[in-house]
Amino acid sequence: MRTRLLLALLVPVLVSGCLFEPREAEPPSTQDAIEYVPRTSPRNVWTNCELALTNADGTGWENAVHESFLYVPDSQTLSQYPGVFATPWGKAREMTFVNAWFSNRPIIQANLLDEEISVPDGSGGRAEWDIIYYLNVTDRQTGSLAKYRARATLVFELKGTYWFLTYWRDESGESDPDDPQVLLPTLGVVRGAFAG
Amino acid sequence: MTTRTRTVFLLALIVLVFGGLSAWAGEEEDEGQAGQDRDGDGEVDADSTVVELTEFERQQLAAAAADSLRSATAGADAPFYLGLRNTPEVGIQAGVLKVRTYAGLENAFTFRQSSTFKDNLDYSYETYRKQDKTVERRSAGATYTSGTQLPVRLDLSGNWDWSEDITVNFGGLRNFDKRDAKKAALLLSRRDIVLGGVKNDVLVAADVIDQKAENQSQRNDLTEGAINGALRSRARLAEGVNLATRLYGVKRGGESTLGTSTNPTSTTGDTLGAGVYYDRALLKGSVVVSQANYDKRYLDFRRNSSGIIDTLFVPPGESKVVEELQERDYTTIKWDNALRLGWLRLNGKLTRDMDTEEYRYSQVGFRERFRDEANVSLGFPVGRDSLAIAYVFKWAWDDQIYQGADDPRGRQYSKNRELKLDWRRQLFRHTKLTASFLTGLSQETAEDKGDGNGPFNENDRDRLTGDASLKLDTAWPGKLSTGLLFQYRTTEDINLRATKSANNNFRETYEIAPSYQWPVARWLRVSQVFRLFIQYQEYTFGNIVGIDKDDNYNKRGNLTTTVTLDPTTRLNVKVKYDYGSRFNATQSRTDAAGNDLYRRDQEQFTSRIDLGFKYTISPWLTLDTTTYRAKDRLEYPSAPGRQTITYSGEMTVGATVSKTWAGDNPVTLAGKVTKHQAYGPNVTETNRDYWDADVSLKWSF
Repeated sequence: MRTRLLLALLVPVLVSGCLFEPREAEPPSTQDAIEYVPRTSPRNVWTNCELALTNADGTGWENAVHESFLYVPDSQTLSQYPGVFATPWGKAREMTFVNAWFSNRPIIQANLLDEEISVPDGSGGRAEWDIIYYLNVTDRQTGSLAKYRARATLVFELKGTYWFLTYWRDESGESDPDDPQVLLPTLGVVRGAFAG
Repeated sequence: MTTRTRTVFLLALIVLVFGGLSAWAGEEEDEGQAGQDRDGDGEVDADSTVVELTEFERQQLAAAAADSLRSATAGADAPFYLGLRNTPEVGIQAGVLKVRTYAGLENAFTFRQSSTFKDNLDYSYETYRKQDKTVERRSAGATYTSGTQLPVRLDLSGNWDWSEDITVNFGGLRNFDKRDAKKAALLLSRRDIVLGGVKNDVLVAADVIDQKAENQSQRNDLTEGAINGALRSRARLAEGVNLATRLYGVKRGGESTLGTSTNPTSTTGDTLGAGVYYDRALLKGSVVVSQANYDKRYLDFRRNSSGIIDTLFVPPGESKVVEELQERDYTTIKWDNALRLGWLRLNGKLTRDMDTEEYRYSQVGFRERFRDEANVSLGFPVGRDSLAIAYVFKWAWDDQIYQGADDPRGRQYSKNRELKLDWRRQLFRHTKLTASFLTGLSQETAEDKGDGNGPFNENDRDRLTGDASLKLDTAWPGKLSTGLLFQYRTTEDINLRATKSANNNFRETYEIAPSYQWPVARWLRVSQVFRLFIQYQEYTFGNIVGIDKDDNYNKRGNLTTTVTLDPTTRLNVKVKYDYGSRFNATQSRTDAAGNDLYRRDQEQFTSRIDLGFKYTISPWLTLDTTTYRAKDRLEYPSAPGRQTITYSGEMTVGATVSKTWAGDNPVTLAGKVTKHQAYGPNVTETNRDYWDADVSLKWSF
């Protein structure tokens, strides 16, 4: 019985060393380094999110978003993609979307924090922001440009020793700065397009 | 819809509700004159007093069971009409996000031989606190089922759904999103038709949809009819082995309007599935294969290669609306198996999914996805221990041929492996030891098509995670219980390409968390939890000249003390104090002995006290109030004298009601109302001062 127990404990430990060997990375080229900042405040987390989008870097997005992350779409997104958001959109679905989106190598110009809006620093381990974000995304295949501008509620929380983005709720699309009569969609429509 | 129409609708609903109430009151007067004689034997029942909640639940369950039993067993010789139950309901739900008021009415007629007719009316109105937005919804529906009255079962349904969402964005732009949809459906079904030892279910359905919608000044109308049929069969192949098959087909056709374009629509689809289910001695499981496909013609806006609407840059002379044709094919194969060998349980699950879709106009073009997944788990007891081992493997890829392209984009591969081991041992009578070990590797790889350009994107990366924890729990019944957790976690990010590998890093986290709960007396409980986190982050290429990445070291500790008092049977008091400190440090240099030295960048000290009271006035009414005060001090050692101190707090006062007036026609009032007032840097205009409520009033007669 003890031998059986010992084998049961040793086998997975031994096997894990073989099956879970990561690949070797190329040494970095210094001029391409993405300058992420330490996630010691909510603002730093959101800065890293902007860098991750601008550089189409899945790793940066994955490190900024916590395991308990939840995304809630706006009503326009829900009407465009009925049923897609029926199950909660957590980190797993978020990373599947981000990896698929970045695979298409979009060219993203992101301004995630409208300068006219002031946001609080984290206090006591939690921060809630009301922000407006704005993205220009160029489709690399066709060269066409898509714009996204929206009002959103974000929640950042201190987990362990680092801040993370834990909640993102799109409220509504906002006007195109170049044509105020045009209503732009939220990033929810991009999530909906890749979720299917 | 005008205000007048909305008012008339509400008045009609109120008349219906009060009309029902009057009828109920009339019945109650009649019952008062004859006494409470529910069993109809002419004698007043012995227990005719108003009953408490638990008795109400018993009566409701009994009434519902009696209704269904009566209709199910009532044969062709029973009266055609068996009963009617009406359920109106009104309520209000308010929170930090929105306030919703609603009302509804459901009438359920029961006939002999399980036949029923139900109709419902619903109305709701939402206003949003953070936005200039209102949403109004109205719906009505009716369903009829023939039960066993006819040789085949007939189900008829009709629905009307109307909604209007008016949103004014931050820039003052107003948008109307309106929808008015009507649907009628018919379903004929016959189950358990036995032919040659095979049991069959046959279902035939038809429906008609009429939808009028408008959003962002664009029409989106649809008028469509459909017919579909399904055949499900099952047969016993051998002892403990069954075969099940299903065949489904659907045909839809109609007309749609999108923007200013109108065009016919159609959908044709079918599904074929088969499965073998076995349960024999040692093995239990199933093998299921299913394949589905459809062709769909519809009006759609132009979409780019990611499938997102793209109407800003439409080529000259072309419309932003196209007559799209979508074809989709989906196949899935699943094997699910459980092996029982005495003390051993071995479960396995294998799944393969294949999916292709193609568009005539969308820049998506042709897209295909493939996914394999394997889950294997093993569990067994070993003396006083129990062990569980699980392994998960996932492998998937997707590829795309953009509209007009000759060659595919290149496959994007995703591979995930995870191994988990759990061990539990009862050390002593009241002491349990739990150990867990988990390791996982996820890999993203873009295909290198060998054309000299390398992989088609720069996102190749690996992520290796590990987690080992040891937990000791001791619980003396009715006395002290303690816990001790030690956890070690690692995460390594490896970007393979030179353009992204500068950020490769390895993170280690140590967590120690001792705790105890002490029931000092029946009216006094004390608990404390201390948590310590230590985290190191090391950049793999941080020592390369030109790479400006510094390792860092962070620590955080929290002590939470909770005292719970029940000084009387009605009063509960809770006091909680939380103290925490945290610092973040960056490596500044390495000394001659090779030790890394760190510079503190930020120090944070937080303290918070919570106080809560809960008073039970009666079994159906509870009052509660809570408050907290917190102080947060942030210092920057590299900038002496620079610090930020913030204060925050909140107070809530609330009540919870749960009252039922039981009887044959019960009325239930349930709800919770709380007033919030808060201050602090995280408090916005919306959550500074607001009511939180969820109250409903429901009748059933």
